[in-house]
Amino acid sequence: MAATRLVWKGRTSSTFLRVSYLSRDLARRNHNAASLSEYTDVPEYPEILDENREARKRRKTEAWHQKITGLPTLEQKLMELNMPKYYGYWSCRLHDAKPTLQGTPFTRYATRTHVVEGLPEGYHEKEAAGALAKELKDSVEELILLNFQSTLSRRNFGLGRAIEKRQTQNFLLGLHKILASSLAPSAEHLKDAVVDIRPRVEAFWFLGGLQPDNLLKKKRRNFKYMKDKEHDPMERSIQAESSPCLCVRTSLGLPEVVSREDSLATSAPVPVENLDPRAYGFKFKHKHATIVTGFWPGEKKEHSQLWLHSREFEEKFGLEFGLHNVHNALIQKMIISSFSQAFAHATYQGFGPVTELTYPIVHQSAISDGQKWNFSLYQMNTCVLHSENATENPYNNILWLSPEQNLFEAVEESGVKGLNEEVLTSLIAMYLKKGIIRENASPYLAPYKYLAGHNAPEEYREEFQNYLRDLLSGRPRKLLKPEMYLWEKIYKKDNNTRPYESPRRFFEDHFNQMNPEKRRLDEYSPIYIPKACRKDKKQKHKPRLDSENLYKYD
Amino acid sequence: MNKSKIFSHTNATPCGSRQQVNMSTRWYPLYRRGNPQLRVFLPNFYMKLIKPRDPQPKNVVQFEVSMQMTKFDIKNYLEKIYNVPVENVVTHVRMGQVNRSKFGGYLVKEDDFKVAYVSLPATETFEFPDLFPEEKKNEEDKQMEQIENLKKDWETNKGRDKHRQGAPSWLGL
Repeated sequence: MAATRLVWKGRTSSTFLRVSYLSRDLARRNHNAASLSEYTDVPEYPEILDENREARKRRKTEAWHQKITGLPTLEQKLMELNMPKYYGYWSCRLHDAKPTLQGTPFTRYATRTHVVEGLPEGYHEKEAAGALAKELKDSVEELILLNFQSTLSRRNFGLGRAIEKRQTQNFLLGLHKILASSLAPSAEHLKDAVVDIRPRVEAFWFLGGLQPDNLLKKKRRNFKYMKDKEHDPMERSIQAESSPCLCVRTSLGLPEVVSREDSLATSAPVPVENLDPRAYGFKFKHKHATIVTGFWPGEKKEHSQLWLHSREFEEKFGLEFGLHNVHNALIQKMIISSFSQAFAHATYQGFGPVTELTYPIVHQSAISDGQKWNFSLYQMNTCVLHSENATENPYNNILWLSPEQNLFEAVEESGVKGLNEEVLTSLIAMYLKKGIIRENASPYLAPYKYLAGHNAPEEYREEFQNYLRDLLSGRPRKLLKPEMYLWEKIYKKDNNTRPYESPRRFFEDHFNQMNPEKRRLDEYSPIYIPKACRKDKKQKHKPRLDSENLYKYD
Repeated sequence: MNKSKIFSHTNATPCGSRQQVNMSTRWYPLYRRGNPQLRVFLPNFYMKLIKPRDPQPKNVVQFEVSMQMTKFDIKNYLEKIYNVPVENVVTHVRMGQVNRSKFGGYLVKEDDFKVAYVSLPATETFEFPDLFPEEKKNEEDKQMEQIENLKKDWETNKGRDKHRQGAPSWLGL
């Protein structure tokens, strides 16, 4: 695209375009007749594109989504997802251990989940599990006595909920050890299963179809092209965090519960709660888009068998909002944790907030405090919820939640009273569920999947990985996002009471004005390389961050 | 003893400019450790039910309350006086607008106020009524027209008795 070089000489009334003699030749070359090989019998017209503002914006975002989908490795996708925002996204925080009073309908809308009471029939093998439960009954009773009859240690680890969480974690870990060791002979997949203790699981996605807030409506009202689209829905970014006690990982993913074309997965009712998330009690925070699974990329065991959660949040929630609302909080917790876990796993397979799934992902979880148990099953059929996909999605996700059951009635001096074998059976059945091999499990990842197999130089890969790891750690930057102080808003921005002061701040009109919101991750000054350290004497700076080539010279 | 230490202060601004207007005109005793719990009968506060600035869930009601009221005060106020069941109260203080004064052009800040979002039980719903319905608008327009006409008449008839000021209207031919 060699355009003619335009040379303006001064701004007088008789200004005219002067074309330099060098670029005249280039211009002539473009205007010659095309070569014969470019002609075809049937004319191939380019696609007629809608040129209005909305359509152009759409094409731009879709091109970005296609770029992410086309990147070969997981790390590059995560980096490109973070590329538009140097200081991070201002996202709605959904924390599973901090449910809000009004939040349950919104979480169902935000994750497009349909909640079904009771586990599905026929998914787990109950008979085999029942037989094994009888054998393990004694060792489980011993474990309960150990954990709940007397204090394990005289030291107090924290206060209140922390004590309960630690106690639950110890019990669940002990339970896993018993079950895994005794079930391993009968279940191949458990022989080399891996356990994560308190893994950090986070998910990030874009949610569309939300009602615009006052700031956005004001902005649209004052902008010529968006005046009549003032009340159009908007998109927000959501960052969910899950805090499980344990994760049991195996090498094969669980099979689907219902087919993806089943009516439960395509047209189950999902509430439309599209108010501002702050109206439901959720807060916003600046953070980079972190999608973390609890294991490093490159792990062989990248599918989860079972997730175990603790329920220490229920006590505080019950005291604050009443015991009759605790069930809602439990549903909220299970939805957020199951979705973020399934979503993180989906991303590590190459799907993500802009790449739709090709097969459903199923996760099993159980939440308990030792005595009270709830089991749940989550089938994720869709992970793309941006723009109109939040409401007009062909698929929806499903959560099956069992009613509350007690593992034992009481623990006394004599022993455990009323051990419920059904709970043990359900848990063992979850362990025994075998995964299936999926062909083409990661259609959007290259065969080498992760950065380690990329063909860029090793130092590029190392630095890229380190930078991404720092981004995903959630640590704040050393130099925080520039902030407009209240006095500046009053005396400079809203009312100009200081007209004679030089405009040097980032929000003021001058040559160096920059909007920190629009700063991209690759908008930084590359580091200078002193002459002695250079490989190529002409390359004075390090290459710039680039999602396709990891690092690229300007 | 200094009276100001026993009784709670009014919201006087530190820089000494005009005092903020309280919703309560009473001074309540400041709590000291060991005091019995303050029980207020016939509280002097009022709570203003307002239309939500941003859309809220169906069981949330928005109030403007006195800056001196706490979440517990708001909850007890509604439950004890009006018998309205309250699940949860969220409050925050909103800063008043900063505007230019019409006379002088200097900056003037309106008073801060506290906003409370009261969540009723999930079974209850509340919708702020439409105070300016379309049907009444025509009536209002007619009334405004009448006022305009009266104004015009006044203007035309103003100069009628100018040449005989002070004399009553029934005097003369």
